[in-house]
Amino acid sequence: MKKIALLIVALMLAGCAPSTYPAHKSASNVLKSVSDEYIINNIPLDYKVSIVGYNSRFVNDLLEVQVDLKNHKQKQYELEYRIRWFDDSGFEVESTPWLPLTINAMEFRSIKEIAHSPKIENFKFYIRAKQ
Amino acid sequence: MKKRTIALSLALAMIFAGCAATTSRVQYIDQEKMGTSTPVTLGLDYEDIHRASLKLVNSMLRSAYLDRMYRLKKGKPLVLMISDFTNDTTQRLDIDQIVKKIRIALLNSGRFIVTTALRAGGAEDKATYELRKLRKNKEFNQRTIAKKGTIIAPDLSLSGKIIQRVSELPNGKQRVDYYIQMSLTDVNSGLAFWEGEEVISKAGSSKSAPW
Repeated sequence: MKKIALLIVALMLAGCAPSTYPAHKSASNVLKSVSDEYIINNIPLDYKVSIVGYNSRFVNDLLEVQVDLKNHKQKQYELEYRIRWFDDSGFEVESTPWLPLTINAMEFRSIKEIAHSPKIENFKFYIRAKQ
Repeated sequence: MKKRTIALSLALAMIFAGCAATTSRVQYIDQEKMGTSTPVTLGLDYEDIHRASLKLVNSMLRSAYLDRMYRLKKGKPLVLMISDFTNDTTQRLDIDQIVKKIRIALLNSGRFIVTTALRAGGAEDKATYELRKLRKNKEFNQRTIAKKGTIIAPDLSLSGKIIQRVSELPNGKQRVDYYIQMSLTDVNSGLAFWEGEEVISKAGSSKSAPW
């Protein structure tokens, strides 16, 4: 029960790419360089499932992100994730609904999403136990 | 005996009153709390449509062909018309439930504009044509009436189909699969520049109907 509660409370927040990044929007499919310092591992998830990395780039002028998750336990977890998208001044432009995610025991999983507006420069990734 | 009957009636009345109070309570659904909770119906619900449209838009926006087409127009948005959608399900679906979400997302992307002057089966917004009927009408300032040859023809048409398939599972339950298929066709060449499919599968009691 405690573990479930921890998962429910868990809110992983990763990869808020800073607005000082050089803009590559004129060219398609250019990989943005990202620094590990913007990856925050989720302590409330008790290291059962954690963000092990993330990457972002502009595809057709739209920010595409990939978040890498790792299940460290021999147990399958049913989770939900969402992404909030922000413009360069930090205003939220849009967000996805909570989307289902099942991660198998010891599985490494990458999640890919693309922003729907060229105004979007940054993102925040959230994950929690299935409600 | 009479007292007992009265007491029993009172008890029953209280029970039913309690039931009525709980069943008639109406509340807003909090999407934040609800998340991706277990679906309540075998039919297509709001959550299914929301997620399917999101994935289809993601796929369209990643399309290299559409990006090339956009660049050929030197950054001008591609004009999209909504074409035929076939509902091959047992549900009464208004296709705009899914198409509208896609249209909003595409418009926000800055790469697409949807024409309402043309749609399969006639204009979506008749005002464009109604306005043109006012040519030579002396009650209207003719300089404010749209000129001939000003409606923009579409570059692309969006068409699709929703298919439903029901199958029996070995445990006595039924499985319902919905295939949401869409195509974006270049109306000049007739070539489909993008195609996408989202499959939603649900399982439930064979006694429940998927609509």
